[in-house]
Amino acid sequence: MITPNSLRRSGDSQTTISDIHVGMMLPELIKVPSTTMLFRFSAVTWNAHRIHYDQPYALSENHPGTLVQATMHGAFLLQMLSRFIGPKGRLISIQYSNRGRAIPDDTLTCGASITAVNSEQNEVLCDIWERNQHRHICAKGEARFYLPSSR
Amino acid sequence: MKAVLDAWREKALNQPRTILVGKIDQLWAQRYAVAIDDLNPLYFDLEAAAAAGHPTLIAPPNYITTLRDEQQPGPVEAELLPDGTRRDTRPEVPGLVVMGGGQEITFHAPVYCGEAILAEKETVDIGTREGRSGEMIVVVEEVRYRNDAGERKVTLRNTALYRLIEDHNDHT
Repeated sequence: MITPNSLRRSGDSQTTISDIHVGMMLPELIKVPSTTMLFRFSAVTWNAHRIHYDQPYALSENHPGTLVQATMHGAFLLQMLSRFIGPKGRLISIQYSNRGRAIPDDTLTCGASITAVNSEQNEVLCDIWERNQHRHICAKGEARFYLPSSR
Repeated sequence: MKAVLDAWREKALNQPRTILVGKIDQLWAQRYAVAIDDLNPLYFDLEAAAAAGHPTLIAPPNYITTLRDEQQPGPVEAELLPDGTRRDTRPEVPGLVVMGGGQEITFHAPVYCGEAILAEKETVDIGTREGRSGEMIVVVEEVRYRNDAGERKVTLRNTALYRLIEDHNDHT
């Protein structure tokens, strides 16, 4: 059941443009996708691609197991960004490429480093990445977002 | 591989079409968020959404970009390829398999629950790249989402990577 308490897990605090500087690292987000998570993600997006839920089939395509969906990696990166920018921040763009495969029970750590701040337009640019427990890159790219001037 | 590429380009490149994504259903948008354990109040709590300046609940930012085909009840299972993907997405070549390669998303405006969404979809590039397991076909699609009032919502460039597996057993 989703309660008001559970909703406080993300999106409560508000970051402002004056909190930001180049080189700053965003708080990491750690995700451990499970087989159930992969199944529910495929179901809710009406995605019947067997590599995400059928282990023998995934192995037949030379994958190490059922694969975390490419767009789920993107969803994790966006979750990390959304938590940081807060409810009054706004995502402008994201670009990421999938560089490595992930399977259920991998520990995926999403991170970001700020590379440019435009204080006049309140826009921030950052490098983004997602690594597994072996520190291999699963996804990397760049994101741009807007932050308000005040809380 | 070259014959596959030529046929694919001939059939798919530069042919924009309109797809009906349909109404963004609050329940399914929230299920998407719950599926990945992202309990952002803006997706669930009207007061939180209003406090942030939104007229209603928003959908998670890349929920809409997972909806890249016309939203219909089908296709029925008999119309799927052996790997479970849609038959209309690629040439039917034995051993040709696919995985996602990345996305580039521009967020023009939040997507609100209850909005009706349309999109222009177009295959914009079909090329090749050398991967760790050999040559891959790289297909880039652009999907430009807007609501039924014509307001631009999201622009997506989605990359899919295809490769040929010799003597692939479909396990069907």
